[in-house]
Amino acid sequence: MVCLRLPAKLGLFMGCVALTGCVRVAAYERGAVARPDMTTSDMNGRGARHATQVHEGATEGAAAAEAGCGCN
Amino acid sequence: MQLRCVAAACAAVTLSIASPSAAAGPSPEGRVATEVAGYADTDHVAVLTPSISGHVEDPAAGWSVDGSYLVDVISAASVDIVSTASPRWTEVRQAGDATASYKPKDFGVTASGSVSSEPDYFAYAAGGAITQDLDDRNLTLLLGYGYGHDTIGRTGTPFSVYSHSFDHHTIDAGFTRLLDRRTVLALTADLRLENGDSSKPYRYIPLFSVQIAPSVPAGATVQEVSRLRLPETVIERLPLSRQRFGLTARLAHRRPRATTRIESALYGDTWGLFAFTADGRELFDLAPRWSVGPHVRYYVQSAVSFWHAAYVGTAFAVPAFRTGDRELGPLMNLTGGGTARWEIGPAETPERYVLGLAFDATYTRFFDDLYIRRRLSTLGALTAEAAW
Repeated sequence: MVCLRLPAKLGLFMGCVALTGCVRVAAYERGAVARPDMTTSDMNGRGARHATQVHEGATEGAAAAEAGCGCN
Repeated sequence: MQLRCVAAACAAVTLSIASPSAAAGPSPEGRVATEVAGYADTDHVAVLTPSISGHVEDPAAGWSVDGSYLVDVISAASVDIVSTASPRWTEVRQAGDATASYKPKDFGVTASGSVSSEPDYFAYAAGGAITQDLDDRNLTLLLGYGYGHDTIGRTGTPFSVYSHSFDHHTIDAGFTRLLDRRTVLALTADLRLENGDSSKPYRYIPLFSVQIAPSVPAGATVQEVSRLRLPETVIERLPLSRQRFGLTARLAHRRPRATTRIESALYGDTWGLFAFTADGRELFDLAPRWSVGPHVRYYVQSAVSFWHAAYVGTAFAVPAFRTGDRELGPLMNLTGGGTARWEIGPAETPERYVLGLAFDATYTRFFDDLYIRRRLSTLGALTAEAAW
């Protein structure tokens, strides 16, 4: 029996969600998802992204995080 | 772990889903935006960040180009600086990035690059990503790779005289899926491999005797630390390699007069740091030209395996790895704020000119640190955007 670790399990679950069981949305039905606030990108501005990079050890962006951290 | 090249590629992914027809317009479209952000916290750090960005695309041809430039002006007299008897310093960082994408049909490619420069730190990165639409553009797959090189030095000393560096490779894979007419889900997995010395040359770590170290309280003041520590201090030293893994999910759902956005992320790395993030944002259509809404974010992380608030050492033996970077220690952030967006364009195209305002306040709790146990920070940003 294969023992999957948590990330693998999550990935498998999300992969199943992606590939199966969803309603197919026709092109003419995509008005709502075309809105700017429906983007799957980060909606934070540059200043907020910088603050997040500095404050969170898990957030990538070493160059940005090393500047403006107020640390030595 | 959020990768800039992924963000750019995700934007392209969203665009492809949102614009199923390639007949959006015969000529290129563009957008210019500027933002001025200000940050201040109770640790006496203030940052002013003006930035400008541009975007040009030709939906019919399938190409787009993005670019941005920003300046960080940092003024700091944090406790880390005070503890080394250093005065307040002010520093300027400049950064720029560019992204080009081409997606004439269902297959797309994206290339990106970025540069960041300040007196004691220089970094550059480049990357690429490919995307593939499937299932009548209801599903988009993403695969990306990036490389970066960071050089760390000392202010006033040329990099050729003193510096060290590290490289990082990033691999990211994910998908964006339309769950229904009003819901989009994106999931991205990131792997980042770092090799080299990322230690900071300014970070001096106090050492304590084996008898004293356990009794050093979290949040001990500069005076207490000075009284308890050994005369010797050592410079920060971090492991020379690190593998970081992140999994991020974003869900956006549109209701008749509001948009809900939820983000959650899991993170782990070979230094022993594990983190969880939950982020939520609601945007209400207050009026035809106005949208406002709250923003909340929760973040918690464990410490790296070699973390100690009080390191034990002697004149002859010091810990192999030691750090004073409290973002490698155990902490929790709780953020609350909001955004407002005001479309001020002409009646037929109100979104042509947009003003935006964002404000966040973050409470940080440091669970096992010297000098500081909590921090309150505020961030405000004003944006202006014009499109044609």
